[in-house]
Amino acid sequence: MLGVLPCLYIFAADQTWEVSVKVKVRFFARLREETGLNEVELELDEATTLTDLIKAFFGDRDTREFLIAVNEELVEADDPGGVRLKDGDVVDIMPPASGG
Amino acid sequence: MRARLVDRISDLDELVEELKKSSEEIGAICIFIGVVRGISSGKRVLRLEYEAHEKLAPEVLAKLLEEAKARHGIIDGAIEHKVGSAGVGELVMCVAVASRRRQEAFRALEELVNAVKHKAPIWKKEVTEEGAYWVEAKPEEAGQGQSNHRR
Repeated sequence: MLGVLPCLYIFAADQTWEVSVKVKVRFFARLREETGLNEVELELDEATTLTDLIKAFFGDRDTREFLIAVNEELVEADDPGGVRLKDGDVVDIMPPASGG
Repeated sequence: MRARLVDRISDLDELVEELKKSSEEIGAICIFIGVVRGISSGKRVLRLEYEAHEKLAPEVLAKLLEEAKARHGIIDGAIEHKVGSAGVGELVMCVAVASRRRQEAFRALEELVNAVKHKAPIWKKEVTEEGAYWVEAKPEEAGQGQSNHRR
């Protein structure tokens, strides 16, 4: 899993980059089991979009397979590629609803 | 209108009384109750395990109720959904709508139940004698059931 993360410009602790943002990513239900992660904190290039983030963890799976929230607001956009992340954002990546 | 995640579904008599109090115009109350089935796709079910986004799920449920009110003219409604472990026969979901007449209540109830299952960030794992599976609703099955995603 971590092998795919460098494409997100994750920096080593001794590196600096003027345009980096720190975000927290949380995983729910099946996706928590798939990734083996409850949550992870990442330092990313500021150009990173939600689509980049999804690809980093889940490859080329269709982003419509996921419910995504940023700062506990559901992202309604069909194309999360247009959503850039800001410093301090908390991103929740969730599987489709299956309650009831 | 009340929408919430619960450890245990509320007493239904109390729920009906609460809905009746919301308006003297109410002439119909429809309630859907989801129950844990003991057999699923031929497998004996031991329990279901529900997980939800604890902030977003109640917000989505409340929004669904407001949409049903606007679209169908229901007067009041309530949605409760269980989180945590649920044994066979346990009540896990309650959707109730109160309206002037039965027609709008029936329409709103079916739409709400489908919407809860397919829009609220709530997930269930089915634990059977043969293994545990996250249950997923396929988009093309919206409103028509679910399929198992084997893990």
